[in-house]
Amino acid sequence: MNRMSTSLAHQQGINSILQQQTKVNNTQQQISLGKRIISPSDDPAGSVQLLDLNQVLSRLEQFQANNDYAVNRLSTSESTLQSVTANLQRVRELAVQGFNDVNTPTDKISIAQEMYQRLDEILALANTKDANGDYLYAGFNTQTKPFTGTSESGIYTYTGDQSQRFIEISDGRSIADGNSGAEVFFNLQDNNGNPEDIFSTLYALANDLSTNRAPAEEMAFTIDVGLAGLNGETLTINGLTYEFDDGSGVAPGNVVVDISDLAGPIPLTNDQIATNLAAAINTQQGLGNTDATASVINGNEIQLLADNEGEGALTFTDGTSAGDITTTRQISIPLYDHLDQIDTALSRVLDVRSQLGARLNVLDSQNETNQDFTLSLKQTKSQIEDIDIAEAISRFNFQIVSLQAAQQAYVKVQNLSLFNLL
Amino acid sequence: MADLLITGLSGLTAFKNVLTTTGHNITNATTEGYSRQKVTLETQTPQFSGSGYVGSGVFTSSITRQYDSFLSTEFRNSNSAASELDTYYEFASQIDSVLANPTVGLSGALQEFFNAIQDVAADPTSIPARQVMLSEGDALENRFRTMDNLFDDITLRVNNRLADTVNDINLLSENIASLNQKIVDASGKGQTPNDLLDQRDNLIDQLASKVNVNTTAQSDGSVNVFVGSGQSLVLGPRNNQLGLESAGFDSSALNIVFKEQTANVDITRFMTGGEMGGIVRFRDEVLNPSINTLGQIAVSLSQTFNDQHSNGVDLNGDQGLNFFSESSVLIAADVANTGSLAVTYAADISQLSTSDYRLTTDGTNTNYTITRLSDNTTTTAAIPGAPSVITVDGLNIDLSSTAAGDEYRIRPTRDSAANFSLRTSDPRDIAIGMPVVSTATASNTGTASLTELSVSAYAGGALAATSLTYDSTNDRYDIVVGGVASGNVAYVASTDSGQTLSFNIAGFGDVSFVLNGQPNAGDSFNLGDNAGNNFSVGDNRNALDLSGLQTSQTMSDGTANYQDVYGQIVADVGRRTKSAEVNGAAQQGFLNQAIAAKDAVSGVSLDEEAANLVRFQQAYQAASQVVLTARTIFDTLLGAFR
Repeated sequence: MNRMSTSLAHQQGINSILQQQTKVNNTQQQISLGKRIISPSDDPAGSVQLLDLNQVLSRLEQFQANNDYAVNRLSTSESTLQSVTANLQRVRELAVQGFNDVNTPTDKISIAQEMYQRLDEILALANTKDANGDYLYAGFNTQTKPFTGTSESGIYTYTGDQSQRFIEISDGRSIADGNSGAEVFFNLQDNNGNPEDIFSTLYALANDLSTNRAPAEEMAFTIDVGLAGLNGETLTINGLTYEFDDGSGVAPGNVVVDISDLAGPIPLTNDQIATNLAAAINTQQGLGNTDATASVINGNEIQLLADNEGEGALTFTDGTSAGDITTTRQISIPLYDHLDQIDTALSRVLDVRSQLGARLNVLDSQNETNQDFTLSLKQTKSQIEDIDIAEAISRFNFQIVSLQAAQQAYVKVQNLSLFNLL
Repeated sequence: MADLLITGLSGLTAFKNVLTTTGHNITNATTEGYSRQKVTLETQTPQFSGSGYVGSGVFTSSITRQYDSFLSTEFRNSNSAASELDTYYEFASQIDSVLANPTVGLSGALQEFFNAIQDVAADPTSIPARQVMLSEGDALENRFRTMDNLFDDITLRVNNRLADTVNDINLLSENIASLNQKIVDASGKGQTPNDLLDQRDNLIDQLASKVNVNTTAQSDGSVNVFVGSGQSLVLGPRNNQLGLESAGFDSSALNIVFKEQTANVDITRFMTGGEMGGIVRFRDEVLNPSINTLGQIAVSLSQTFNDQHSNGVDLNGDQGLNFFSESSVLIAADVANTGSLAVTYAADISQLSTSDYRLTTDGTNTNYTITRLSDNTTTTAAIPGAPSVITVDGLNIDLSSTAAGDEYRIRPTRDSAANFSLRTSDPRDIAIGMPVVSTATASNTGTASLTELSVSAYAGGALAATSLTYDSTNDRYDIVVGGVASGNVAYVASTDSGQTLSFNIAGFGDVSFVLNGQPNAGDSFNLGDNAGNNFSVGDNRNALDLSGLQTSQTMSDGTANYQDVYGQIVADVGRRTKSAEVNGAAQQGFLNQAIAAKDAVSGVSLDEEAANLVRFQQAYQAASQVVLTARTIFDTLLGAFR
């Protein structure tokens, strides 16, 4: 027969109450914290998973902050470049308008004035700072104003570098938070492969307009001397002087253009003079002395074409008396050059803007990915760490009932003593 | 009649004994260690008469305690094991609850610190962002300190508990010895001194809850008690003492010694079971590994971070200084040493382990022996010639000044967490730029681009103007540094595009970069100085590399990052705590069974005693009736003659 000593019965009753109390206490703690894992020993593997999850979540949060930062900077850049585009387009319109011969020099000056304004605005835009006070287009040199120069001097310099800053937006994935000023504004190449920068281009354009510069690559003029003497008067085309001569001889170095019949000093017609002049120019061109070609296009109208493209490829100085020669058409080909250069600049800016757009898209989708990832990690974390409240509450109730039962059983059993009956 | 009277009287005496014993049992029902006593009654020798043997009553032959030495040993062993696990759990759970705690544990601080670096990377010139990074660095230092203080606290508590336990053991063994003497004296009278035996057993039970003991009963009634690997704690009426001694290599580590007349014997590693076993095991399995692992993280973090930081350039254009303090290796030399040892961390810190090492030199200082104490791996080899440096597990050990018979304890990570500190105080001193920038020459006609330019092993100072010019005949970039041709880097666009290429610039460092696209002959890149006055403040390249350290596998032989290693110790401590808890519960079950089994034999049941009380009261009353009857008979007889 098994004996049960009184103190053991007592101790066992107490033990079971204590055990139940411990359980109730644990469950209570779990419920009040909402956590299944209070300390790592509750679930060692789970706690390490939690540590890792927390690290990943914390990094994701940081990536989101980086993402916001990059979006901020790229959007600022995008809107800045949008303004730059608008300005460049306006300058292009102004250029087309400005080189129209209908304009008087005064008109041109006022157009040039607006161009200078636009130039200053683009310069200011190129020196835009981001929300943190860093220059957007300075490469790494973000605390130094990258573009300097004035529309007085016309000399523009870039003090930034060609570097691009990167920001981490997810594990192992970085994105450039901008473009260097060199890339956007400065290190351009025009259609002829010559280096170009936006500011100098615009400055040159405005300057040409304001000085009423008429260098041309193509022009046409009519010769109309009537019966008045043209003899001894000159024209200078690309540095070479042509002198109209009735046979009395010309100054040394000047090219002779006959204005009299070889048979005698009979004045030639305007058409004939034009033909002679064109022939003289072409002869010189054939000899390599000049780089302009002439052709008679309409009786007494001569068309001059520069052999080379480019600004100032054709210069024309009229040394005749007023009214002897009338410019009928002057196409300032530098306008085309300038327009080309503006187009190059525009397309560079648009190119950068499309890069920005692409990066903003990437950031947007990365943002979503990160959010989805965060959500799913939080779910995983919750599964590991959080308690199932319904289960915990029912467990808690059950444990309370067990505790009460243990207590009641203890009291009942302790009252059972033979001594009570003696 | 006289017979009847004597018989009745013998009953009275015997039942009085029984009743007294029952009373003794009842009053000792709650006395710890008390064993129920039982009176054995025997019939008196009967008297022979012609008609047969006439019984002559009862006598008390013995009063014995109800005791089973097998069950008692069972109880003692269970108690010892349960007490070990309890103590182990009690200490381990203190560390357990702290490690993963977000406000005290290291993990959160690490994350915050590296996030702060990313914020600086996003805005390199922002002094507030840099200030936050310094604050987070400071928080990290505090976290290491807090954890280390906690471990110090626990070490102190462990030592105090050891001292208490040793005192208890000494006191108990003294009492056992003196009880042995009393028992031997009392046993001479032929009867067992039950209560003294109970007292002694109780003391041995208590001793077993302090440490595992072996007992052997002697024929004279005394018990010998042995501890550890057979050290005699109690021998008959004499007892020996245990003591504590500082371990030579660490004043905060206490060894348990058995005090002998000539010398003290270190028996720490034999201490199993009981509180003592629990403490010693906790110290070896949880406390020391935790301290060392935390130190390992501190060493790795400071070393790798400082290395990367020194590749950078700060806001003033100067080379980055140590961001955190540099750890040093703790070396404890034996007092008898005549030589000395120098140990530094090797360049490849990922090899560093959490173990301590013992290094000894032989009698002629020609060979050394190094033992990794975590797994007792021993290597013996000849001390190499000058510079006499060996590299073991991420440590460079300089043996050039050792002497014959030296012994050292090398503790590479022990102090590192305590000494981890932030060295940078000026936000401008955070070096997140790199000392070189590249420029593509404007006249390049090919499509090649140079990206991801970075510097490692930066020696400080400015880079002389360097150019890379493409040589299409040989498919390579020719390098010219400061006007001097300095080799070349092969580049074939079809295979090398997107690959990291690098070359060394003497006196400056290793420059690496990625080339993409097809260059044309004569295309070039210029590498320029980005330090000193030329420094571009918006450069964040080193910040990206620094923040990359968070997930770089710089530890455990390149298999783990800081957080992983921390996770390992969290898991390890968690698992050990959990297993102590689970095993403790199981052991408690065994203990309860052992108590129940022992109690079933020795415990006092008040009901049983009440029944006995009733029964023997009746027996006593009956015996007195016998005496009364004897008197009545005698009176009757006297009346017959009146």
